[in-house]
Amino acid sequence: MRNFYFKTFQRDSRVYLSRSSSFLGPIVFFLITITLYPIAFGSDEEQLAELAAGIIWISILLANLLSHQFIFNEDYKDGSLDLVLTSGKSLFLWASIKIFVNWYFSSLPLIFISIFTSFMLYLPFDAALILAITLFLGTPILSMFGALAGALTLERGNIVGSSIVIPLCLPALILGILAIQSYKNEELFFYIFLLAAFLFFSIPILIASCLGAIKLHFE
Amino acid sequence: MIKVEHLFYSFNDLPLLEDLNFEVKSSEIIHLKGVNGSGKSTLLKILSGILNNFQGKILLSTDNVFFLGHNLGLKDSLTVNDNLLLDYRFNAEAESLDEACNIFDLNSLRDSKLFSLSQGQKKKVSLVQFFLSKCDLFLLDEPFANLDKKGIELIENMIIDRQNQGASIIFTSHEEHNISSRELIL
Amino acid sequence: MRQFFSQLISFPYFFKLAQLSFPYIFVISIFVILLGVSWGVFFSPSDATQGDVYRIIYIHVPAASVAQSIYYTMVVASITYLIWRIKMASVFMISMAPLGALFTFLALFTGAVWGQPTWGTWWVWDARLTSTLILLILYLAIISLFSSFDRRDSTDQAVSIIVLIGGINLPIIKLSVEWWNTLHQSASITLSGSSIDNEMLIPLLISILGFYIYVTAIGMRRMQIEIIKREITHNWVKTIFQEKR
Repeated sequence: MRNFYFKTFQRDSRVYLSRSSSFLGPIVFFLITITLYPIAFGSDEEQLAELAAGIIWISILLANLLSHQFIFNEDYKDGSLDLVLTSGKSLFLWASIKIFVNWYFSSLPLIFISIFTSFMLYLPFDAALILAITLFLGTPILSMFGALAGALTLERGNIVGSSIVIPLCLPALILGILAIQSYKNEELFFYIFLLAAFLFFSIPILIASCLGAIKLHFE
Repeated sequence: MIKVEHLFYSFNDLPLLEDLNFEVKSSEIIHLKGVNGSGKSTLLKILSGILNNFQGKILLSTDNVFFLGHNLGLKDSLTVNDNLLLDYRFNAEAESLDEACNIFDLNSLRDSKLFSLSQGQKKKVSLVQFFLSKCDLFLLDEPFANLDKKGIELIENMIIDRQNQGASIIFTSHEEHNISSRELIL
Repeated sequence: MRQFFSQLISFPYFFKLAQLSFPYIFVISIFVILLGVSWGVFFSPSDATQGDVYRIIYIHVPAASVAQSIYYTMVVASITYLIWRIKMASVFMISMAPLGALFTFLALFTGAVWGQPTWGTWWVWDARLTSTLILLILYLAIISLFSSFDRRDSTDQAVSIIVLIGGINLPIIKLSVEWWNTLHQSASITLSGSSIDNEMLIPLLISILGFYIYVTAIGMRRMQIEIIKREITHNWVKTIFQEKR
């Protein structure tokens, strides 16, 4: 039962749970950013309701990219990555598990919290549900892009990495916000379908690129 | 066990390993020597399959390779116990784990997080992993560094044990060790 | 043909070819640009609605066209590098990215200068402007990646990966940005026929051609510099510099 992939899963989950900073960091970042918007724009109910979808999506995008930047970094520095490479196991599955664990601990809590914050920003209930759906489809994309940024800059681990991938995340952001804005229309399903398609095609391409980027450091 | 033919490896166009040829038979202990920067660690990383961008031929008769590098591959935020239970290279039984920790005086530390341990103690944890792994080829980069005299003797005996079981060992060290069947100088 | 190609990707041969042809291509490009732009600025008729302001298109349109084309050629180079490991392809990407950024900036700048008198604002958040801005950010991000590796091979490969991912993503970004906002006037030059007057079109096409030749010349120069940086320890570079003396 305790095979390579299950161990990867357990290792990463325990590392995550053992450090409150990696678990709570994105949540704190997200809540603070959400709070900054009404302070900057004023607490006008109509205005905030209009901006709410964008505010939440942007805050989650930034929180997500920041938390996924170091996903392979620690394994690279402490030598765990060496052991993974000697094991001869499928790196694709290994990277997928790592990204999933990181998504589970850093993005999933944010999705639940975002439902509450959407009420604080006066987003209508129906739209808040759509928000949650788009985030479910969108945050894995953001996680994979964040992982790619981290994989590209393993040695340095700086802001360069995440700024490279933010422009590439744009379709997810636009589709997510469009879906929320058209929550009363039929177009909603079109945008959600497109977002799902984007996720579907991102998985193989982005994880393969992550592996390509990691291997650059072992030549 | 290993046959290396015309191995070349370069870093940024600077040649590090040039036309390396050697052979290692089973039940051999090789002491890999060389000045700093001569490519000892790099050679071990190439043999273990971590680095792939080399020219030449490497024939390995086994997939079952244990690698101990400069970075030990231990997770700082996990306990000693978790680090041993979740190691990729072996599935530890409770009894053998107890025994191994006894040998290295780690029993009292088993529930402490790794970052609270000293360098030497961390090294011992990784040597418990060595003790528990059943592999045909062991590639050990500086296994004796950071260890006291008693620890060094312990490892030497373990290496000989492994040799008696038919495994080959390649290790690097700047000290003299009389356990090796032969020395390889880079 | 095959032999010519394999010679082209060898550093010494390309270097000599570029060294020989650069002066000619450069002079031709300056001449063609001057011809196109001066024709457009001094001799073509003024626009019925915009007056003389529109004449900035003789710089704006070529710059925007070059800026995009550079990215697509970089995508081709990245695929070439990732599949065949041809070092010339990575030299090409690393030399062209700053040029691409420069021309994207030029396109945005001239667009702003054009937009101020025409629309009464320096900047509008419409689809084409936004995706051009994103192209600029992408170029800058790629350039910032140049220095994040110790190994040059790794830099080359990282740049190709991000160029390729960006290349796959760029049409998607464009499309989604267009859904987000569809206010811009539709493209004026199309393959089926054009809606602008011939007397404006011909100098514009000449100017576009001039910009492409100019980028070829400067790109070759930049590639020469990059090749020397990489091959500084090789004998053929040393002999070239000795010949010069």
